[in-house]
Amino acid sequence: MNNAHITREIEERLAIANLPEDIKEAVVIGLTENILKRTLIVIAKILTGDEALVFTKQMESGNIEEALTNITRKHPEFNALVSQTVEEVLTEFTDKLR
Amino acid sequence: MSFFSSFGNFGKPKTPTPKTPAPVISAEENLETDPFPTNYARMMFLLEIEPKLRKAKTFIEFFEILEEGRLKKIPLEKGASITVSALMDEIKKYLEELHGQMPAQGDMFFNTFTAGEISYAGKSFKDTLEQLIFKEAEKRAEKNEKVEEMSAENRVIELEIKPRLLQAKSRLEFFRILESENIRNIPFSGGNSIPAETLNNAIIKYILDLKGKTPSVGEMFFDVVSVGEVQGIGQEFKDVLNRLILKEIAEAGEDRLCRVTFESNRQNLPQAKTLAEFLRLLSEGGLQKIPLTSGDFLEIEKLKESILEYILKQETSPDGSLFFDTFIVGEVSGIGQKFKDILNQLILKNNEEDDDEDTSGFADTQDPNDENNNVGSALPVDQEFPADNQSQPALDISDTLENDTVSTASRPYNFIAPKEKVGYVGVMATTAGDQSEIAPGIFVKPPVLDLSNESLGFHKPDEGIVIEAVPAQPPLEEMERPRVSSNPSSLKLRPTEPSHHPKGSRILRAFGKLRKEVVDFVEEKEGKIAKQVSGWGSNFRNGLNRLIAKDPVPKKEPSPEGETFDVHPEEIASILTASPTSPESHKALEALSSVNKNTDNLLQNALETTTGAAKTILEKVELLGEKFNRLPKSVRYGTGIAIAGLGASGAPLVVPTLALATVFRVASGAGLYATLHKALENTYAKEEAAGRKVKVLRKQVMGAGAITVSAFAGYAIGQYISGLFPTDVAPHTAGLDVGQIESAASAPVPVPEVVASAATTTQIEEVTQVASEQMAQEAVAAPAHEMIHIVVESENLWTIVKDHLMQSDTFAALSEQARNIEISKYLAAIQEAKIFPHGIDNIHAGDTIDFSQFDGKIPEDILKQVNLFTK
Repeated sequence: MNNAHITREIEERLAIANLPEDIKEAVVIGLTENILKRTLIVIAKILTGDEALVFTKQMESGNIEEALTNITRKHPEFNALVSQTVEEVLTEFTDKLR
Repeated sequence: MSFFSSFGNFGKPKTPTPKTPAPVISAEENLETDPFPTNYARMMFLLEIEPKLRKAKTFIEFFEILEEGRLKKIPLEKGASITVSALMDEIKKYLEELHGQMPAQGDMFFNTFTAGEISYAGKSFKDTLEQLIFKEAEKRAEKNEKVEEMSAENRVIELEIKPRLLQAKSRLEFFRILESENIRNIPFSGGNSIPAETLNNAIIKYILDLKGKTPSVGEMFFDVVSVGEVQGIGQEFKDVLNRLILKEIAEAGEDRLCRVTFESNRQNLPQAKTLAEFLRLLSEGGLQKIPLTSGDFLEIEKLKESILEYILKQETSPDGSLFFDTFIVGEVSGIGQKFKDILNQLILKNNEEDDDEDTSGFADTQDPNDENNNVGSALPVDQEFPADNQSQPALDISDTLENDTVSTASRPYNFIAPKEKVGYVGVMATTAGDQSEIAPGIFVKPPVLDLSNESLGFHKPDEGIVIEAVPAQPPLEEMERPRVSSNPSSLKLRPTEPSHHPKGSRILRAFGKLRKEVVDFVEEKEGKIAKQVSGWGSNFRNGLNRLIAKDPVPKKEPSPEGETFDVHPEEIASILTASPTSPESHKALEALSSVNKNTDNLLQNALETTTGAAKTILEKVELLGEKFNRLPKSVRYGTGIAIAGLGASGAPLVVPTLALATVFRVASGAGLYATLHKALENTYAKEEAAGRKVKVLRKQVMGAGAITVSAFAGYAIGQYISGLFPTDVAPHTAGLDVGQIESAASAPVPVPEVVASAATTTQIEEVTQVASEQMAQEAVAAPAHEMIHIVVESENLWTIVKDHLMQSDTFAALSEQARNIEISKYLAAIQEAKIFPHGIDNIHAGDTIDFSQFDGKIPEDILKQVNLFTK
């Protein structure tokens, strides 16, 4: 599967394949922003106070991978939560679109 | 038989009293004392007196003519006579014996006259006199009927109503009791009466004139306003009213004054010809609110607002409803049906006049002098009285008004009663001698107190001055009961069923002065927004709406206006020139908007329940959104494809940590290309291990982008992520080649000719390698002139840097993407150098930047220094 396939599948998944390009872009970009925001919300929810402090410092110092790895180590459910978040956003959109 | 016998209407029969003989002068006596009648005397009578007698209007005048003619005796048959005075006495006796009844057909005077036939005075003399006597009898009978009625009313008042009147707690309750007993006229001395309503109006005017001042001794209402002796009820009547008036004055706070003022203003409302005039009359005396039954008030301004709302609603989507069909003010209890009718019709009238059509018949009812209009409900507002007598707070006039709730749809719209029949306090005032008649039967004296009836202008009974002031009242049973007020203070529009009244589309234009109020109101409420919007073209507004739908994130920080920040000029242009959004597109944007709202709610809830460092993370969410939106659109799109693509193949949606980290870097614009480089290196290692040749891809990217960024970002992240997946989970992203990447382009950017002409991956590799090297050399050789830039207002750093770099021909020749990379490097370097203490997004006029410290000196990995959590 190449990138075109991925893009096509995404558009079909979101039921936007037949929309004008600018609308498709707006939808994908908008959903992306929502995913990113909700991911941060998930992070803020699962971290303890100390962990959140460490995470913030690591992010501020540019060690993003390290910060996220720490989360995964201490909270194994993190990846699943993020995946769930992505799925939720996409489902919310498609449900509303029906 | 006299000529009266031909009349048919003689009233009730009256049994004649047996007559005693009239004093007659015998013929012999006449011959001895007065040689009357003589032929001469008879001739003089016939020629001079008799013609005058025919012109007499009363029997008194008849005899005065006789006396003027020096006729002392009236000849009877057989030479006898009767003196004029004796005949007059006989007539008076006859009238008195009728006792105010009409004479029966056989009981006319000359049927009962026992002095014998009038001789040569002739038949004409007798007929004329008998006609005058009958006329007088008729007059006395009418008067007697009145007196009997008054007496009956007096008895009712005295025995049944007076005890209740004495217990009245307010002036309004006092008059409400009278109304409930159908006592519309208050009797006073001489058999006359005054309409209760007129008296009430006079009291209202009296209270208003006092303006809150307490009257001193001798200045009470009945001291300065003459309404007779009020014998029907007596001094107690006056005392009670005086007490109630004093109480009202004592309680005349703002609300009390408001009630009285409204009661007064209400009387003038039927005169309003336009809605503006109606509102002006309603607001007279500084009235700002309308009292309601519940004790609440309806602010006139709110009423106006609701009218405007109604008009605007009808302007845009007319549903045929009347204003008060859509207006809830606690069921409008207290305003009164008349008030509502008038207002409804004035609103309609504006519309109808504008349409030059008369479909409601309203215009036909507007002539106050046309008595034909005064039918049915054509009573003036001030003629309305309450039907119930339940105890209400003092001066609660609302029921008085509301009880006349005749169906709006079914009644004719005749509001203006003939002026001559109605006493409008303050409007109908006329001057009668040294006092003003403020209403029929009521005269206000000059300041000097004069208690004599004559000086007060008290009308004598014969002048008949009061009864005619009472216009016909509709039967109380025809009035609807007021609706129950469930929420009197509420003020809202409600949906209604359409009525038969037509609605035009030009109400607003016909609104005269009120239209100006509409504009003022809107401008006041909307303020600058209204003015700003008025200057926008529809295309711009549509474009902006679409932008809002597409990009609902609030911008807390001012954003640079560079090409790739926030809303790009070309993006706006494309939207403004785009064809109207299709329903499907609109639906998609709405769905996106819904997701945005959900996210905002999640964030808001999390912020409310989170504290400490975790809250700090949440507070960064918006910043992340802002940074994400500053990225080029193609990058944002590619990032989304990369994320969403993780689950697009049907495989379990898993976002490993490192992949997420990459996405975060990309999404935040932090070290974008460095991150991608790193991702590619990982991918390259994996791919190389798999024996695949993707080296060209890395070189291509780093060499200034021969493919679209979006495609690249999506692909690169996908590759990066796939490299971290277990081989059995994500094999799908392997095996891409340049052709596939190019075909995935969704937001094309200009491709350098050298790249586009490359036929093979090897050629592309070579060309991009050269391009990258050239670009690096040119960057070092940035122009030396204009190295110091002073920031001016409205400039942003992106354009400043770009303008600076554009002085280099090499930079200008680069693709847009390549330019963006270079500009990003400069921005990262400038931020790292902390030239601007508030960040590169927050520069101010007067700030300076010396490009000499950056040109050719920016490290290759400078973009790694920019990260998400740094402003």
